[in-house]
Amino acid sequence: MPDITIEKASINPERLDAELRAALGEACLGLSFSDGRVHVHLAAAPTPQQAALAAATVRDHDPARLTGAQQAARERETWLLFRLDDEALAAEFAALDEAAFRREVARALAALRTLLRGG
Amino acid sequence: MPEWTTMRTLVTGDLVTEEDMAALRGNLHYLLDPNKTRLIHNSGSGYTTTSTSFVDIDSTNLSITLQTHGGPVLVMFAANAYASNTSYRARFDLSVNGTRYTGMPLGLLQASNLGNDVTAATPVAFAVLVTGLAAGTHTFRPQWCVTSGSTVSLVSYTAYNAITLAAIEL
Repeated sequence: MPDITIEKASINPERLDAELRAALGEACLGLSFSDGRVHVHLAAAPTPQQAALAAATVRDHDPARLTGAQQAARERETWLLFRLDDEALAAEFAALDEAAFRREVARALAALRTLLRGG
Repeated sequence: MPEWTTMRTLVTGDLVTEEDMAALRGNLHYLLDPNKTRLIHNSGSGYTTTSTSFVDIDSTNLSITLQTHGGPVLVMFAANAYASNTSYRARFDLSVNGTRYTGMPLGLLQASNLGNDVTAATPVAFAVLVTGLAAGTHTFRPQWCVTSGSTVSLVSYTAYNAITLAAIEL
């Protein structure tokens, strides 16, 4: 199976795979990565245009960018974090006496109102 | 390393020569120390693939070439694999002289429910007896691929595990 090998220090494999398949279509069978080298696996010997396109796609790849699925997974983790924070907050509130609780609620409502007004 | 010598066929009345005995002695030594290679490979950075067709894991560092004498060759491979999602599956096969040995769509084995990061990697291993090889030079390389949309990695770091590949002519 013909490969094109391109040096790249780090990659997001799922994102780069999607980018290569979008650029090269069915000619691209995927990629392998090891020791700073990306091997783009192709169904047939590449044309010069395909080789150049593969090289440009790898060169322009930003490993910090996520795929849609990765982004969704990260957002799910964030929601989980918020829920855990809420639980911790509820535990803190449960420990307050009534006067302290009222003060905290008033302070939170004021902060929320400021936030909603864009302040 | 001892070498195997094809001995002449003796018939009644033949004189057993020093060369015959040297070949016999050499062959006994060969049987005690057969033709073999073993690799314990630490790439320093591991391996990752998204390939949906079988490809060599590493055609340079995970490759064994043996000069065989026509016997079967036992090939063993062991590694630790992980995937970013447990639904991803990795498939492994063996390439013999550039041709997949099984030719099966899913290869020799398929690994599923892999751990989701390097610290939770799942062992994968196969041993296959390659028969029907003519005497000569033969190259053995493990190959892999993944299910569509998947990313699977093999651990090959100093702090974790190496990849083992071995081949021995029996």
